Amino acid sequence: MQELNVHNLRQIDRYRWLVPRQGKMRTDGMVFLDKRLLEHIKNDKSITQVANVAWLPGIVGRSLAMPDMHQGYGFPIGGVAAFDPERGVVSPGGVGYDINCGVRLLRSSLSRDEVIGEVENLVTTLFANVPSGVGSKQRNRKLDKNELKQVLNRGAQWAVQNGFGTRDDLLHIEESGCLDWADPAAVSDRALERGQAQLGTLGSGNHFVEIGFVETVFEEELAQGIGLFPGQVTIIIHTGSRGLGHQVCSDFLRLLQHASKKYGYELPDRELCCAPVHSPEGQEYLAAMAAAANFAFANRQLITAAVRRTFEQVFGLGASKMGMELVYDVCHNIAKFETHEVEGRKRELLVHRKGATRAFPAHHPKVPEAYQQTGQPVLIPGDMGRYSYVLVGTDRALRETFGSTCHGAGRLLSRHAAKKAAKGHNVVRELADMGVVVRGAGRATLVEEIPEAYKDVEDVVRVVHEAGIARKVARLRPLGVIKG
Amino acid sequence: MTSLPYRIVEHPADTGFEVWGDSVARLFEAAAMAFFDIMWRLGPSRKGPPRIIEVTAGDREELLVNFLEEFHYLYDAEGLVCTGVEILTITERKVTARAWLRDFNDAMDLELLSVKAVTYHQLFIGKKNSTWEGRVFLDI
Repeated sequence: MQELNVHNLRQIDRYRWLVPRQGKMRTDGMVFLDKRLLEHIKNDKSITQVANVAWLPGIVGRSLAMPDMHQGYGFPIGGVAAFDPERGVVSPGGVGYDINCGVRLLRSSLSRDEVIGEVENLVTTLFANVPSGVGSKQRNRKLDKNELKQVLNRGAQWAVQNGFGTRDDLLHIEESGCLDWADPAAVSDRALERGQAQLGTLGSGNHFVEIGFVETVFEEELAQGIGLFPGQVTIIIHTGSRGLGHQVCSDFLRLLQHASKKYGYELPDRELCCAPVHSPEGQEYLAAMAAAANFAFANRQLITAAVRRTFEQVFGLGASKMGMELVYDVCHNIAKFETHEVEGRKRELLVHRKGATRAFPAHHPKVPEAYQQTGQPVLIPGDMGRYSYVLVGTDRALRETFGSTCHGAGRLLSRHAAKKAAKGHNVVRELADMGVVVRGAGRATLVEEIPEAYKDVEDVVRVVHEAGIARKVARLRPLGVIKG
Repeated sequence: MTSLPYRIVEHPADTGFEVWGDSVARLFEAAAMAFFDIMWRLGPSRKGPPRIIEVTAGDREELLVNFLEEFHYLYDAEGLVCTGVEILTITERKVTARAWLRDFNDAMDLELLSVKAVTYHQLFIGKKNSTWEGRVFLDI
């Protein structure tokens, strides 16, 4: 394996850089960056990882990376790659450990002025209602394995049927909150055991629930189409499949190490282990991955119910009276079968997105009815002090990136460097001075997640907007955050 | 002061460690120590009876991943932390260890870092002169 870096890139235009095919690459790579973002990755291995993905059998089109790309495991974070289901492979490294880590956005009919005096109360109540932090567990809700398997089969649909939301919610989730090819029998006992007490919990690290408001609308018509207006209170939920998903990934990395040898694949990185899509190993991974994805959909649905309950407790009104509707729920770490046009021909492909968001345009059959005119909402969280973005998918994304765009800001500082930068600072007070009330399960997480630890998400969003692989709709400003 | 048999390695999105020992057994013990130190700061406790841990794998590197994953699973699923570990026997594909486990105690133990998994990223075990060296990255 040859190490590549920014000097191996060939600039195509202001935001597109080719990683030319060489050595055992089966295709070119393409990364979306501007010069400022390029600086951030010049010392990591993410460009080599884009090239490594291009080694994989059956890859269709280019090995891609979005502008929030950085070094990951196997695939880079921000990586997108599509594979032919007949000749190609599936790789757990193209999905990641936190299967279906994702983001959902709720809107309300409340204005910033109506909640500003209650933010402290909302954050405290939310913190009590959503178990958070390292190893967070539900104290009173440990599902038995049969019930958990129902969750794995039906995802957010299970949650709604059990009183954690409305049927309308399901219309506003990628894949309606359920991958129907899931098979809980493919999930190990160990993964089940890790998931039994973790449904409806936030977890740790960069996972959060954020109460904010629409600070800026970039395109009035699109914002209206998504139901957003200036000053409107919104809620973002960012979490995934918790220990269950991590265990599924670990289990199948182990299994697919052996499968890769069995099928005679030459791989530049063990984390890229893979199996033919139609092999028994590939099918088993896809069934288990879908089950874990469904757990994540249900997890975000239960946290949505806790958010609605929180607002009801604080304001003494029903959630529907406060217009607390789901705008959309997107997956960041997933592999899915999708139909794409390749060289003028429609083909079914297995698209891996690892730290990337699906961004389908208006009139696409997979976009919910409510967004047929606007395009699919794309939710891009920033750090806890600055802002997040709502975008929509575009035709150009569909043509160039298998309908994919960025997923977030990406870290700038290591956790150790963040701790060092935060030394002597009172993070909670400084954020309060910026108008953001923060509650974190542990001081360790808070200092590691200081705004300075992340790139400015605006830099990432500017690139996808100007490159045409998503379109800016609105910017959201945080008021209160609970961190895991 | 005795120096630790490991060194933390960090990139913006990564945490890992380099580890060393005069045998593969000592290397595995040092890796376990590094892994535990990254995850927890544990309060004092009396050593209870040990549990025998047995782990298998296809090769030595995978054995180290599986060995650390075993403790990760015991923590995430059963709430158990490890206060000491001793390798009894080790081959390329199998390790048997004695591990002292106890319940995580909210009042005196501190969780430092949420680890999603032990990865194969830049995973390495090798011998340089008479010292065994290893490197492990964690997904966090």
